[in-house]
Amino acid sequence: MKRYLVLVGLSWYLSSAASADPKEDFVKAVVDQCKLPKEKAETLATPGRTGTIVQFTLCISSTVDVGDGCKVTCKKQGSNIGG
Amino acid sequence: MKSFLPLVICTAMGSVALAAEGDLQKRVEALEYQGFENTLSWSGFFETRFDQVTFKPDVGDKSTMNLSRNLAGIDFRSKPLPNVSVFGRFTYSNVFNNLPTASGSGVNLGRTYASNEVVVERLFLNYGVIEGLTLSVGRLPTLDGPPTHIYDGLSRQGSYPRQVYSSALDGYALTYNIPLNSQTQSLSARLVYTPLSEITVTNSASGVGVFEKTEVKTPAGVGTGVFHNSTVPLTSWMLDYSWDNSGFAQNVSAIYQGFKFSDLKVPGWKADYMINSLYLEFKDIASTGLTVYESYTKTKLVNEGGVTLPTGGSISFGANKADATIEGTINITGLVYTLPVAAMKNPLIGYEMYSADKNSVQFDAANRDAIGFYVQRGKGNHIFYTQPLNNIMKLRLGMMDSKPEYAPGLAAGEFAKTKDTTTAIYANLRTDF
Repeated sequence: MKRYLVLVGLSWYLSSAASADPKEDFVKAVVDQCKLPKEKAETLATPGRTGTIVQFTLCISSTVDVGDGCKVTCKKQGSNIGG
Repeated sequence: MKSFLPLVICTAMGSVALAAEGDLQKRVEALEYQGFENTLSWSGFFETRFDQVTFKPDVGDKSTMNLSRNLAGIDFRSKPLPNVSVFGRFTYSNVFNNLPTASGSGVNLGRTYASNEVVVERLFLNYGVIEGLTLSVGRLPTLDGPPTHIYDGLSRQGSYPRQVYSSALDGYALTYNIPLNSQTQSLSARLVYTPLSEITVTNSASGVGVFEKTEVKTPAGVGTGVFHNSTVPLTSWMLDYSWDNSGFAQNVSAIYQGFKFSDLKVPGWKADYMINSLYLEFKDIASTGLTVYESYTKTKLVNEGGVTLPTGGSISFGANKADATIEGTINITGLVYTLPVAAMKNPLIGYEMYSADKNSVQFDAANRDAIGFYVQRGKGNHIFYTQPLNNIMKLRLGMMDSKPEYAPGLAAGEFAKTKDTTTAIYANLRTDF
C-alpha cells in the first residue's frame, strides 16, 4: 500500500510539475498577464519562426508584443539559476 | 447492378481514405519519435564589434587603437524529465586575425590546434526536488547579468547583477519560489555555494607536486600524498522579484544579492570579501517606452595581517597598513527610451552613468567593452543607439567615456591615483538565432 501511495504521489507530482507545450505556455502567459480570455489568447498564438509562440519560447527580447494591445514578458530559463 | 456500382465506388474511396489516414498516422508517429530522439534544442547568438579607443594619458600624447572582435555562443537545452532540465552554452571569442606579439602569444590564423578555444560558459542542471524548490548544479549562469541585457533590448542574460563577481562560477544552488498567490508576480529566494578551489597535493613518494592550483597533472587522480586543501568558501544569497504588467510598468524587477568569500589566503595575510547589491528595473513605464534601471553595490574587504615592507611599515589590499578594512560603492544608473516609430522597428536610445569610488573592489572575468568601463574606479558615461534590423538582428552604436580616478584591480597598498582618460566609440552587431 505504501509503495502504491508513493507511486501515486510521484505520478501526481510529475504530472503537476510537467510543463505544458509551448503553445499552452504562451496562452497561459497571455491569460495571466493581459487578463484576456483563453479563446482570445489562442487566436494570438501565431505559428512560424517569427510567430508569437516561438518569440515567447526563445525569449530573445523580454517583452513580446502579441497584438491586440497585449505585451507579455518572458523568461529565458537557461539564463536564470533555478529556471 | 445500378445500385451495386455506387457501393463499389464508395468502398474503394473509403479504402483509399483509410490508407491515407494510416499513412498520415505513421508519418506523425515518425515525427514524434524523431522529436523524442532529438533531446537537445539549440539556439545561439553572434556578435561582431568594432571599437575605436582613444587613450589620453595624464602626461604624454594620446594614442588610438582600432579593435575588431567576435563573440558567439551556442546555447542548448534539454528537458529529459518534467522536473529535470539541462542548459549549456559554448562560447567563442576572438580578436580579428590576431597576429603574434613579441611575447609570443598565440597565432589565431588557420588551424593551429592550439587557440580559438571554445569555452563552456555555462552547463548546469535544474532539478525540481519538490514543487517550488529547485536544485541547480554545475557551471551556473552567473555571467552577463543585469543591466547587460538592456543595451540590445534582450531578456535577462544572467542571474547575478553584473557588478557582483562577474565570472562563470561552478557550484550548487537552491532556489525556492515563494508563493505570492499572484499570476503576474514572482519572488524567488536563492542560496548559492560556489567554492573557489585552490588545492595543492604533493606526492609522498616522489615529493613532486601532482595537483596544483589550476592544473591537474595526473589524469588518474591524485593518489597518495600531502594534501593542502585550501578551498575558499564562496557563498551568495539572493531575493529575486518580478512583476509583469504591473500597471505602473510593463515589468518591475528587483534583485537583492549578498555575496561573500572568506579566508582568501595570501602569504602573510588573509582577506574576507563581501558584496551587497541591489538592482532595480522599471521597464516601459506607463507604456511611454521609458525604462529606468539602477544598480547599487557596496563592497567591503577586510584584511587580517599584511606584508611588512623592507623600508618599514606594512601594506595590505587597498591600504598602506595591515589589518585594514576598505569599503566602497559602485553605482550604475540608466535610462532607455524606445522610440515609438514602428516604421523604424522601434529603435532604442540610452544613457548610462557609472561611478565607483576609490575603495570599491570588483572582479570581472567577462568584460565586453574595450576599456574596462564597468570595472574602473572613477566615473563614466555611456550613450548608445540600438537599431533593430529585423526580428533577430540589432546594430548598436555607442560611445563610452571613462574617467578613472584610481587604478583598477586588486593590489597591495593604497590604489594609485590616475588622471588618464579613455574613450571608446563602438559599433556592435548582434544576431540571435
